[in-house]
Amino acid sequence: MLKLALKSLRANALRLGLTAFAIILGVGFIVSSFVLRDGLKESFGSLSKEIVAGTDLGASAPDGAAIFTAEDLEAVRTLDDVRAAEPVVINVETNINSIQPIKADGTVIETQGQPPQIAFNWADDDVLRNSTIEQGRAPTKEGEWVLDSGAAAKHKFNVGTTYTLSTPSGNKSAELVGTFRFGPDNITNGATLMGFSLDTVQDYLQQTKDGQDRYNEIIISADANVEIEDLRITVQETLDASQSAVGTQIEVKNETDIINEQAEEFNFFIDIIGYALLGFALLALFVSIFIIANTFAIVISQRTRELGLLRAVGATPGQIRLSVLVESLFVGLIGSAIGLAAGVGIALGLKEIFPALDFQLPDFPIVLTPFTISVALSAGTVVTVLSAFAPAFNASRISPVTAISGINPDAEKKQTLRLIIGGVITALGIIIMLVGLFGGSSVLAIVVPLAVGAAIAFIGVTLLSPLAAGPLSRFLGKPLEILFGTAGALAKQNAARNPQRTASTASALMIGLAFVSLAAVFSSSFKTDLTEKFDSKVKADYVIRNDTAELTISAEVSEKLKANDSFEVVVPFSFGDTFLLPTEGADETKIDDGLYETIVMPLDPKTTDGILNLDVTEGSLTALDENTIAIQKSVAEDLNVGLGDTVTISLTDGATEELDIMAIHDEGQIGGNFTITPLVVTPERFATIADTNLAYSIAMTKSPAVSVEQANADFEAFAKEYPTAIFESSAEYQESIAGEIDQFFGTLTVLLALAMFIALLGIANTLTLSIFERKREIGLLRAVGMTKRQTRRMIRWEAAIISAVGAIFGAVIGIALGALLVKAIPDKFLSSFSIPWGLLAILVLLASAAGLLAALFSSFKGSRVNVLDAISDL
Amino acid sequence: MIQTATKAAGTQNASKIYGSGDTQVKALDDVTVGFDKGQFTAIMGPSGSGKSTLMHCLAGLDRLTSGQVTIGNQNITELSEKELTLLRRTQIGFVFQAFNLIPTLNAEENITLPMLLGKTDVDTAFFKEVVQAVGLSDRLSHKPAELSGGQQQRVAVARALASKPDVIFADEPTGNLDSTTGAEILDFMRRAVNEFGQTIVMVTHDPTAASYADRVLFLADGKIVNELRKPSRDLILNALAEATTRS
Repeated sequence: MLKLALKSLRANALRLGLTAFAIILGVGFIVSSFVLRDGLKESFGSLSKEIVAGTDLGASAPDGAAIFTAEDLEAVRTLDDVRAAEPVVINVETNINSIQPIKADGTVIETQGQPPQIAFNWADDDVLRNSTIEQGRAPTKEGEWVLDSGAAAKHKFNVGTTYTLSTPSGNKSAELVGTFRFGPDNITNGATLMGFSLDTVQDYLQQTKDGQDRYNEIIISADANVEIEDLRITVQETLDASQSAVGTQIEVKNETDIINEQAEEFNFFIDIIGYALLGFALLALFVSIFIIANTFAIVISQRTRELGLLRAVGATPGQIRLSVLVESLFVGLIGSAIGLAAGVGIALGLKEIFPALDFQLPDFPIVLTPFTISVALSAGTVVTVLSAFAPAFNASRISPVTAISGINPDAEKKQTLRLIIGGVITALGIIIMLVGLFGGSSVLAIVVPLAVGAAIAFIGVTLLSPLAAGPLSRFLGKPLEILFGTAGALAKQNAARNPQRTASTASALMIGLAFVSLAAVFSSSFKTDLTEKFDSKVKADYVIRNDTAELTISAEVSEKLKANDSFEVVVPFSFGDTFLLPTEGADETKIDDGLYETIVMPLDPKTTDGILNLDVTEGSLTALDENTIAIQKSVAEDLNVGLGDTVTISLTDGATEELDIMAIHDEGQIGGNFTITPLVVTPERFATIADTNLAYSIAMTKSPAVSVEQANADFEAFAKEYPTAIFESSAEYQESIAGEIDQFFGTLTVLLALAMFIALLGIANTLTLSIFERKREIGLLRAVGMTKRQTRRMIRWEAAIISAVGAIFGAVIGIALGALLVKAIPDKFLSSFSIPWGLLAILVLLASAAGLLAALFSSFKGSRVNVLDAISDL
Repeated sequence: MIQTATKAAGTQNASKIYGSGDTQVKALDDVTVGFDKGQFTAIMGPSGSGKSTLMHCLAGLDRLTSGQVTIGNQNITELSEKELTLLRRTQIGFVFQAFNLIPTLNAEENITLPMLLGKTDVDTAFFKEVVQAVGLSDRLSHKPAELSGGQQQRVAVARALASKPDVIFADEPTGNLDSTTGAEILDFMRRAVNEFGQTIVMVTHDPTAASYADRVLFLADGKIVNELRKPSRDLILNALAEATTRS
């Protein structure tokens, strides 16, 4: 039986090549996602080591906040066994990109999707500093800075030139006094590193509090032959003793832990990229299942006679089943092996493609682990064999008699059972999805049931879809009949003649289109949500923002805007982390370490009235003052408090303050850079709660006293002066966030294109097989006068109808999934539901056109059917 | 020279050679034959005698190695593939042994298929006459799968007739039918010749079928070896046996 399976393989090389191609692509993308991930991890792993090199111990707060004072540093420095201790002021954990150099031409280094720009103090101790001057000298005072040599060369900054730096303290002038290399080889993975004297960077980052220095970390180099763990404990105790603010936590870690933690942080982002790619690869493989199953099913129906003969001469059903499975095993193994090689190629390709998608990746080695190899081989093989199960089972049920008496490819099979099973499976999939969407408490608990449920539902829908495939094909083919006459009519009839095959062929495309449509519906809803909320809640003429959710816009900007006559109301948006003390009856699950962590923002209702139109469900914002607070509904529920009650909030100086609840506001008002946080206080009160006077956006109105031209000109002048921020009119802002969402949708579609490409391959494959099956029919048509051109047209348009059927099913499912997802996402993140009909129509048309294209080969083959062979073949 | 005015189809010095060198096979060896308008001709011969090749070349399905084929008064030897296709559509009708119909089209659509492909108007009166004659009036909306073997073959004959071709080629039209149904089809073909003046060329190995013809040609080794006019079944059997021993 093995011999037979192998013979059949060899005899049908082309057909199996097409089948294996789907596997090659699916496996290839799985491999590339792993290779990419492992390579990036290795690349960033060595970076982590370099960042930490020279440091024996490091002290920091979990959130990287600047909490250490000069006294803390002094306490550590005076400890025995400490050779040297250096303060670290760095904007990597918080306020990333908040210091940016402005190039000579007035532009800045791009930040969106690019490696970060990091500023830090130039430490005195050579070992702990871990950086070496290459050209010029070290910065010693305010007005001087150094830049890593890589960034200096890439962005053309010259030593000896004075540049303007955009900082949280406003624009600053500083001379580039030198360039340096970070670690031994200045491997920065594309980041821009800037060094300043300690005072300067503290001043720029405003990390002084009450006249005291504040550091993000203290790093320590121990004396030789010191037991590091003992010293670690001593440092921890020393620092705990000198810190007292509420909620403050200090962690002192040794070199290995810091390296690991650093690597973990990088790995977190690498994993996100890796999982995203893996997700698309798995989707491609899932789509492949349908194609392979379909191919095997068709091939087996074509081989009915051969298999029947085998049965007649004594093969058992088990042997038939086995021969099909063995065949699939070989196809799977060969496809996976080729896919493995292809995956490495794809990873190399992605390395080139990502920068083109505005997505910077550092150089990384190609790492092919045994794990990757085993996953690739087993995934591809298992998927192929699994796909062949149903066809193999059907093959084993072929009876010797019916097989020999003739084949009828359009044989009506019992549909009722199939439909019932399809219905049950679909329902099961939907239930699993619903459980995940509405019951899941973590990302994993939502995503996994969602993916599994969707996969199951797709299988169910595929079983059900023959029900609609016939009538839909006939409907879609109607215009073709008018357009192309008999060729069109036959295309229509051929697409409709075997709804089961049409449906299973279309199912792969259906899945691809479902995801694209889901993304389209989701993007459209998100766009509507953001722009509508902004439009209805913020009556601004101009906005200023950054492209991160970080606080980077200095108070200088809003001060200058307020002083300018062109602008009437200027509202800076800021936020800070803070804690509330738990109240009687508070939800215990939301309390961590005896504190309720939340986010607060400043707002002056007296000045924002008329520009911010917020929904307040209870109380009023207008009377908000230093002793009162507005809280979001969900916070009120979590803490079991209401209007008029009191909450206790932690202050930066370590004390707490009781504030009366003046208003309770709605969830999810506005969003993006104009988010209304759970807590709202006056700017005066905010200054005591949060450590920042920076903004991440500013909304403002034009003064009625000046002309539009005047205001625009002033706004432009500001934009030139502060090139790190994005200056836009209200309308431009809405356009650009819509554009960003569109771009996200575009990227998603590119990734989904893989699944759709495989789907189209499946259509081409099925069609080629169908033509083989209908050889005599085509021969007859050619004999009675159908031209080659008409033949090609008939086959091409059949493919287009099948594609359109798949695309329409997909779009419908995508809309349904989109509705479900929007419903499941809490209103505070997304409350609008919008269907982009035009876009979906274009997608369906494109998919149908792609079907036409996919059928080029089949139609060519069909038109070349030898009439004599075809009609004399009986 | 063939007298084209009275001939519906014919060949002149037609040769068809397959392969080359030692493996060369002469399927047709310098055959010159004409088929009169309104005549029912049967072509017989042992297998490998070239009867199918002759018919395929006459019908523009296959090309001669040398010589000429004429349909109506047109020499089709030099026609392009596309021109041949259009010729088959308008001037030639076909009836095959089996698989004569497109399963997705109903009987009426199958009958009018050549005209539909050419987007030419169907002669409704003639269509009705033909359908009436084959007795398919109440089966027009049926798909082939819903028709019996005899009915399917009648649809095929109706299709061949409906476009009023110069000549109908029938390749073992009764080969798949029982003798009663077969006789019905042959009767009908005979009537088509008598009543509509249709020219029919039929390849068959069945002497009974051949006895419906006006003229029977016998082929052996790619040559016409005998010809009978209005022969009886017995005469045909004898001639056939003779042709078989020759080859």
